[in-house]
Amino acid sequence: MADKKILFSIRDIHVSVEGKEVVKGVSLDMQGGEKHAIMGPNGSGKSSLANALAGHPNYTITSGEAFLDGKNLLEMDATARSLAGLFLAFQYPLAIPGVTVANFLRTAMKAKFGGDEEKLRSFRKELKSRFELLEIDNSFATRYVNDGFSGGEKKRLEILQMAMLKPKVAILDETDSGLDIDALRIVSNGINASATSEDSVLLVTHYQRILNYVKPDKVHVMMDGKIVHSGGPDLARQLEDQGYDWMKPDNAEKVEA
Amino acid sequence: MAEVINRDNGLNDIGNDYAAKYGFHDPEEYFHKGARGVNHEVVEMISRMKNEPDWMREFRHKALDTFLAKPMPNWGDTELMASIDFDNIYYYIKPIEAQKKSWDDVPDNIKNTFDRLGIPEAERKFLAGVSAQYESEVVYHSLKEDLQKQGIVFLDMDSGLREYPEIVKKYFSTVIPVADNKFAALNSAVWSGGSFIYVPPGVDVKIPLQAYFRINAENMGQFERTLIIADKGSRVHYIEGCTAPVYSTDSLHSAVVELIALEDAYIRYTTIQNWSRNIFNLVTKRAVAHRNSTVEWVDGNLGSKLTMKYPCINLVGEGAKGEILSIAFAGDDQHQDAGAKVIHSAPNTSSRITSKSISKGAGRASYRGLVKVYPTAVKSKVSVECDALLLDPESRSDTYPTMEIDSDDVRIEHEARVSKVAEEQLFYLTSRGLTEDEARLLIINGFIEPFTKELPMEYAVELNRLIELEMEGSVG
Amino acid sequence: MGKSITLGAGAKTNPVEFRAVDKHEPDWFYDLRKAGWEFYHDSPLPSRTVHLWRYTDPSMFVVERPEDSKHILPVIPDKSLTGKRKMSDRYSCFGYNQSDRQTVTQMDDKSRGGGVIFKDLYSGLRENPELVSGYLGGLAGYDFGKFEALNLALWNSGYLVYIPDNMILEKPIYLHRQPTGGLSLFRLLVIAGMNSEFTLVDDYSGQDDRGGGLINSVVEIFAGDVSKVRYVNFQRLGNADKISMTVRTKAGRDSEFKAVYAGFGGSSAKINAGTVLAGRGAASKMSGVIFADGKQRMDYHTGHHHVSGDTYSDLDFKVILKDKGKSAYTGLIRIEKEALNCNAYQENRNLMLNPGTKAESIPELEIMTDQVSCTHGATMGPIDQDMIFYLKSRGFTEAEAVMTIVEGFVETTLKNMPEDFSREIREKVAEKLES
Repeated sequence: MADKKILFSIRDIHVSVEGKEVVKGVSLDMQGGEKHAIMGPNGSGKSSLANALAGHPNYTITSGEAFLDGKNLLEMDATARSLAGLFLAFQYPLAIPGVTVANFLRTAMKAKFGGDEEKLRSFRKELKSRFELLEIDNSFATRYVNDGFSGGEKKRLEILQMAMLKPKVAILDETDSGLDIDALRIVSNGINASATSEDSVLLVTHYQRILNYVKPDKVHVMMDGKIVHSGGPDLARQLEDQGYDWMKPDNAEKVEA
Repeated sequence: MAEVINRDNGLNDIGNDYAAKYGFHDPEEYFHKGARGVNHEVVEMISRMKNEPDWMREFRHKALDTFLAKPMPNWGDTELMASIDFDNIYYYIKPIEAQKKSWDDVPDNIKNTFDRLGIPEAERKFLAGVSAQYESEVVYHSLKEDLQKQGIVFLDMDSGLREYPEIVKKYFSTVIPVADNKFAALNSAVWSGGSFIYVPPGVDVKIPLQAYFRINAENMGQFERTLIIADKGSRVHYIEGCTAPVYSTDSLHSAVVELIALEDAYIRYTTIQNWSRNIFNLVTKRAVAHRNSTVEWVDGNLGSKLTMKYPCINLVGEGAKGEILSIAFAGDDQHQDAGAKVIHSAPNTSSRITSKSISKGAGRASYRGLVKVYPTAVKSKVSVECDALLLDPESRSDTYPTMEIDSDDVRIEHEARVSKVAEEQLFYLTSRGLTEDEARLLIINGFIEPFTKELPMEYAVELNRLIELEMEGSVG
Repeated sequence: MGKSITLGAGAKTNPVEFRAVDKHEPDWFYDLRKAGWEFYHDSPLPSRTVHLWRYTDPSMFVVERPEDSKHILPVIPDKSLTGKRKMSDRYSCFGYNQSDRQTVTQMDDKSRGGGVIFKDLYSGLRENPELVSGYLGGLAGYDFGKFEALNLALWNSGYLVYIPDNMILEKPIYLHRQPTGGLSLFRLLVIAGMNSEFTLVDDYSGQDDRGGGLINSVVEIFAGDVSKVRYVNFQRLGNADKISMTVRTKAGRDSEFKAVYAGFGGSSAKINAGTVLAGRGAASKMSGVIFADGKQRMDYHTGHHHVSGDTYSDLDFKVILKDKGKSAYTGLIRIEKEALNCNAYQENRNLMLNPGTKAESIPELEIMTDQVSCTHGATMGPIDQDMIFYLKSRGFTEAEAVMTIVEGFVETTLKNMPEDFSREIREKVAEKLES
């Protein structure tokens, strides 16, 4: 492998939801600065994998290992995973009525970076510039988190959080779904601007569209709970043209990453 | 903005200092401490000591007869109410010091009490006047000069009766008749202290008038009486906040508050109630709203063992508006039986009731409401919204809304929801680095945000802090 | 027979005798009735301070000397009556009462062949004693309430409906209940077997010209596990009738109980409809269309009692008021501590067509656990004048506009009903609007 060290590593992860196994042994290594995409048809287990890695209580990791920067994620609860540098952009972000975006972000920032005056001042400055980058109106700050937001607004808020919390590893779960082409461009710019050369991004997506804007180093195809194929950026385009059927396990030769 | 989370404070320690912080009490140094129980002698003594006019003395005696004759309410928490021992309560205590005009003259031990509650700072910041009720008599009272110049009267009720007898006689007990309920009758017989406010026509009181009430003696009843008159076109905001020392036996707080908003006037009355967990808080609050006037009750209930309080607005003038916004937090073994009443009897009147309750541990929060629309109240509008949040499997929430509509030409909407803190919301917040406790607190603060945003900043901060304290019992 | 007791209560002049139905009456049934009789005489009038009776004076349902009425107590129906009214092929089972005491039943071959038991209740309790004795009074027993006790002691027309396990009836069961005397005590016992599925229409109709009577009806429905029971309570009694009706359902595991209440008749109607969600996963949907005009008073109470986890209740009650019509709707959702993950919804809408109407709405919640999702709502108001104007500007007359808007108001509720009955309810609504 290259000289960069492995930042994010998962080994043979199995995930169950309500007793049913939905992820059946997934392994993945990401170096700092790399972007990977996990693609696959609906129901292939992509989102389950993303939620399980973030520590969602409904998704049980029954076996396997996951390390972020050498730290064992599976020993941590969702809070600790976040503080360790993991970020999940939700497919369906939740409304939290009565809690303003500003208050929410400030609380999350304080949890991660501590809350002295100096930091809070720079927080306000940074927030302003991120608003501009994501073409978010200033009134956003005083609205309630995701309450009455359009689909595009919700996704922008997710990426705004990513930009502010500066995770080492960001998992973006179907962040492109429901976005029109302008919103997709804005959100993608936000993703590219937020991930530094040290950070890793894992894009979970059904479509190739977002990969035109956020260029992946590697593309993995997930089907029926397993990664069945891995390849370079071209694989995404191939999938767009030919669909997923050709690489079903019995149709295709398995290629190791 | 209030910072609701203090990470440095080990969360489990928060709240352990409640007794020290809010439950402290001073040695009882009373000029006069009457005997326990209530009878015509006690009433006579109270009235004579206050040197009241005959009409008030007679009013008290009649009220006592009504109190003795009236049965206890047969609704609400009848079980808890039945445990009140009327014979074991002091009905009147006069503090050692007479009323003070300036802060410097206030006795040290009393000052201490207020210091720990942050009163002087609040005063320095923006208080117009402080009328802090310590025991049954107002001991500290100040009114800024500019208010006096505008003709605004802000006195304790006893002084109000002495200095403005004709206004008091005209309005006193016109909103809440003696026989309204047993506790209103009791208050009418033994009332002491409370605030008297008169705002002259057209005067806008720019800064809120505030009073702090405290109970300091064991088995000591507190029966303050407040009367606020906003004359034509005037505006006033009054704030009442309570904390009380923790005692082992039960105390009774039974206030009567009457508001009169004349034509085009505006009154907002804000309460943050945080009596200690041994207090029965049985309060009658009612307003009359005349033509095109507005009355708003903003009512927060966190403390007490049992609170029964249903702020009421009688919309008697065309175009009058009423709004009641309340939150109740019922912790372990508390029962917050709170609600709202609006009576529409004039055309084009409108009202809005928003009630939020949180039940934690074995706490029980009940919303009890009445909306009554008479046939004369054509083209009126009513909206009622109740939200309840349950934090534990033992928690209980009840909603008892009553709507009696005698007019077809009105619009009524009522909505209620009961829910728990959703696991999905918790996960969303914890995945952003918040602990579960922090996440829960943030969600709760969001839940009551429609209430806190109506409060002056200090109060919003204090309320969030109190909720944080309340949450500590079982969180973690 | 020696089966008689005398009671002093309720009869100041001479003590009255508690009669047996006839010489064939089973002992267990006699004892059950007697317990009801004693409870009726011994219990005080319900307190007006409880919500259930806050808006209706219970004294109107008191019968001073019910035993004096010649209509009380059932008889074995006269077989010759069976052919008098032929069952339409739209029904699987059909029952009617000729006098208040003669209860006549018919059923189609499919029902008979499938083991359905459908007969007058008195025959039923004699011929199927182990079935009936296990259920009768199980939901509204002798001590449930004063008027339910009276009903249990002296009912005169009753039905037994038993649908075996796994039986599906495509056509509804239709009960036509017509009071003929001054005092009618109706009873219905429904036992739905496991995984059974059917619709039962309980239709109360009475002619205005017969003068007013007192109708006291009690319905007990046992919805077995995984059953799907639809119950339509169609109340179109005479305008002078006084009605007290109690319907109690126990919903078993994963069962689905759907009830519709259509209320049009009576000078005063006091209806208490309650469902106990007893089995895990049980669901109850209850809807109502109530129309009070003239000087009618409608008082409907609904109760949903969630005692098991994962249960669901949904209530949608629409009330239309005209002339000096009055309505009191009270509803209670109670969720017990053990009943985790329940969902409960309750909505009451009132449309007031003119001044002089009166509506009360008290949708109450008592929630003992945090593992719930519960909402309720109520609205009251007149027809939106802008809507009237819009329709008029499209050529509607005022009356047509009102009719259209009222139809729309009830439509969401009616669309879930069997076609025949939703049509009849629409007609009844139209008739009341035009009167």
